[in-house]
Amino acid sequence: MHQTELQSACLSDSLENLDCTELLHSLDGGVLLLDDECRIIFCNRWFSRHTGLTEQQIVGHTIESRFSAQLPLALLDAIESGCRLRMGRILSHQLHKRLLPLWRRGPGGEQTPLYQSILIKPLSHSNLTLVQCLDITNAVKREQHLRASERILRLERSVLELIATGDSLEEVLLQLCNTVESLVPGASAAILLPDESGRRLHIKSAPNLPGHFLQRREGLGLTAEGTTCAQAYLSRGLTICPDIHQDNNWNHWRDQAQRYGIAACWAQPIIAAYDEVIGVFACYPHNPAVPDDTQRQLLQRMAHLAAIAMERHKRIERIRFLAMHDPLTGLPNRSLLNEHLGRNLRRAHREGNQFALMFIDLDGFKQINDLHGHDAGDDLLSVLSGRITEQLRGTDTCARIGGDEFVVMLETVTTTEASEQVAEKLLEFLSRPVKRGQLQLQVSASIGIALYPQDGSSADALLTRADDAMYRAKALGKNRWHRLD
Amino acid sequence: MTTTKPINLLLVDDSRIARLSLSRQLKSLGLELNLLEADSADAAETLLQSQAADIALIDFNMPGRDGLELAEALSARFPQLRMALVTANIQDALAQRARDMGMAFLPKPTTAEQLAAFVCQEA
Amino acid sequence: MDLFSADEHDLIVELMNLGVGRAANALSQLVNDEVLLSVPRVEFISVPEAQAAFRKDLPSFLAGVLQDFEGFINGRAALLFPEARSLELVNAMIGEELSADEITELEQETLAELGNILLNHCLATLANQLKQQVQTDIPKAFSVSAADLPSTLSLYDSDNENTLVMLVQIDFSLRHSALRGYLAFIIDLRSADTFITALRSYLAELL
Repeated sequence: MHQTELQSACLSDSLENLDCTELLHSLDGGVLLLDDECRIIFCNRWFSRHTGLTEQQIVGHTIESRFSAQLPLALLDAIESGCRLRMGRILSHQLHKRLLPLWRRGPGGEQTPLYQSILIKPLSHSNLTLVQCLDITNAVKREQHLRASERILRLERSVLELIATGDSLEEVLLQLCNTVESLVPGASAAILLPDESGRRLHIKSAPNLPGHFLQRREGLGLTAEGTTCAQAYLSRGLTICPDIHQDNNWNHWRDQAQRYGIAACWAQPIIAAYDEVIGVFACYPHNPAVPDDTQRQLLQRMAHLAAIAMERHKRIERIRFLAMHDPLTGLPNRSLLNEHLGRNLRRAHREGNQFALMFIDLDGFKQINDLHGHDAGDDLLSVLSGRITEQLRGTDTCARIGGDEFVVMLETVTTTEASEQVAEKLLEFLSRPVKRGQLQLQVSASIGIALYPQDGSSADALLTRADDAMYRAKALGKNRWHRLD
Repeated sequence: MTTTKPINLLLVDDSRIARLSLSRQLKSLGLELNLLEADSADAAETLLQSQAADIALIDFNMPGRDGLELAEALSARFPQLRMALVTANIQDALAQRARDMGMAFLPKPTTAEQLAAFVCQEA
Repeated sequence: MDLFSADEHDLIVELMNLGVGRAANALSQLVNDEVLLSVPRVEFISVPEAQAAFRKDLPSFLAGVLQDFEGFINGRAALLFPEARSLELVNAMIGEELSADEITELEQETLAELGNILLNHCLATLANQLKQQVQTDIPKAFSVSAADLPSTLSLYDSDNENTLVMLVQIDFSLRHSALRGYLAFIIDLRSADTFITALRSYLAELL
């Protein structure tokens, strides 16, 4: 009891010595006191600072008469009902985009309108009404930031889903470009990838740049004097050209850029695992500009998603390759051979051509394995498979279908003799020794030939025929080719 | 033109107090009125099977069918019936829907003057 | 509770309807679209009954607006919504397609204004029709679990014998959103004499 009595005595002492007016002036936020006729009898310093009017100019007037320039009806009603009817009101920013004409000074000295909410509180045991103006600019900015982040997250989620479930890399890259364009209004986006030589960048995806921009055969040279994208690629960092008209590196492209509405370039390198640069994500604003923090972050995130999509695509392609090729030699396997064979049968049938199928079996391979080990056998196979493919044309196929068994398909032969000549060549090269360290490994081959359409008109028929012919070659003494009559 | 026979006026509102309020105001107009009351859309339709009405004052907010739904049903069966929607929901959208149906629109709380204007006007 | 006769109850419902209709009109002007509000049900219950009703009928998380009033009757009023739907209501009012999961402080303020407009119109209409005066304080938005609701409404502080809870169901229809909320008026009965007398004289004129 004694303690609280003491405390409240101390409190009322302190309050008595306090200048209430000074207290109101020192508050961060606008404070007005209105009488029951809605006249302003007090306004604090914050209020006068943020309206640009002195206290003398404000006190004595009603809000309506002082700020006659189009005050919203809801505000005037609320003030009336506060002062005269004693009903408290809150006017929130989201329902009233404009309330009192309050201004704040930006960092550059420029004046911007203040986001505000207003509280109108009739004071009890008094005929006065308190009007509080709250500056909620920070809250609004935080909210906008939050909503913007959520928007980006939603878009990212849909891109990730596309990456996870979709098959097409093109679709993902397109979606990424579209995402950037929806979040950076007034700009076009594009993705550039290096060509096989690694010396030039070509546009892979650009939904809103016209077709011929994409199809330029030249591409961008990856040199130090290259354009923004080239520099981003080489420097591995975000490179910005705020105004292409002021940048000499764009001299060559300036006309084209003007035609496509490109006024600036923001280039973000796409970086994969092990810090490898695999492309560039470019954003082309239609007016000279520099990206703000949010936009920089956006470019980084989109480039990262592009990297994920491209790595996944590479991995899938690799899996597909492995499913269709022999891991040791890189040659097509049986599955891929069957595909090629089927396709070629249809083509030959259509065009009335001949083609040849050869079964190749290496003589003495097993002994090499037994004598020198499987590593030696593997090395031998790698070398010999290379020798086979060297003798073939680009359109021919050589497949490894067994331990030491290969099938060669000559896509077209004009004469029977042509196929026999190829077989001779193969026998020669396959019987030349292969040097492996101190060893000379040597085998020979038995080859069975079957021709379409003479020896069969289906894949099975031809394969069986060639296989049988190969066995005949072995029976006849090996190191030869044979064709069944 | 004065009518020599009493006007048959139907009040439809689920609130007894509301009906009391209305009938009190109507009585103050000094007209010859035969007042009928119903507390729901269904009750109104049932009532009209055995009794005739010239005018209907219908509340909008009722449990079951609302005032506009009732008006639609009644206008089909009784094309000569003059109807007014009486409601606390005084919004343009609702007023428009009422007018589209050929009904008058009377905001609550009603005033004697508005009621007089509606009841006494010629069809 | 048998504080009111059937007619008096009916009158209060009718007056609440009037107030809610006015509020709907004010809101529709603010949001520039049709707003339909109706009062399907009003009940008068004691504090313990109110606490039980809250536990039973209200969802576990609520968003709400609290506002004190005094005049011909004293007490506090609370507008209550399921928290998940309150964001939907605010978004419908602002007219934006925000799909955030959480209500931010700006939206809480907008919800407070919604409650403020509704409560002001209900109380003002009640007062006007009964030829009385009422004053309202500024509203405050809150977000609580149903278990904490009684303490938020200061139900534990009230003297149960002398406190009446008027629980009003409100149906909102706004753009494509339709939901049900509650208005709870926690009335100090010791101040209710003026209210009851005014009600009775209004009825007396009618009947």
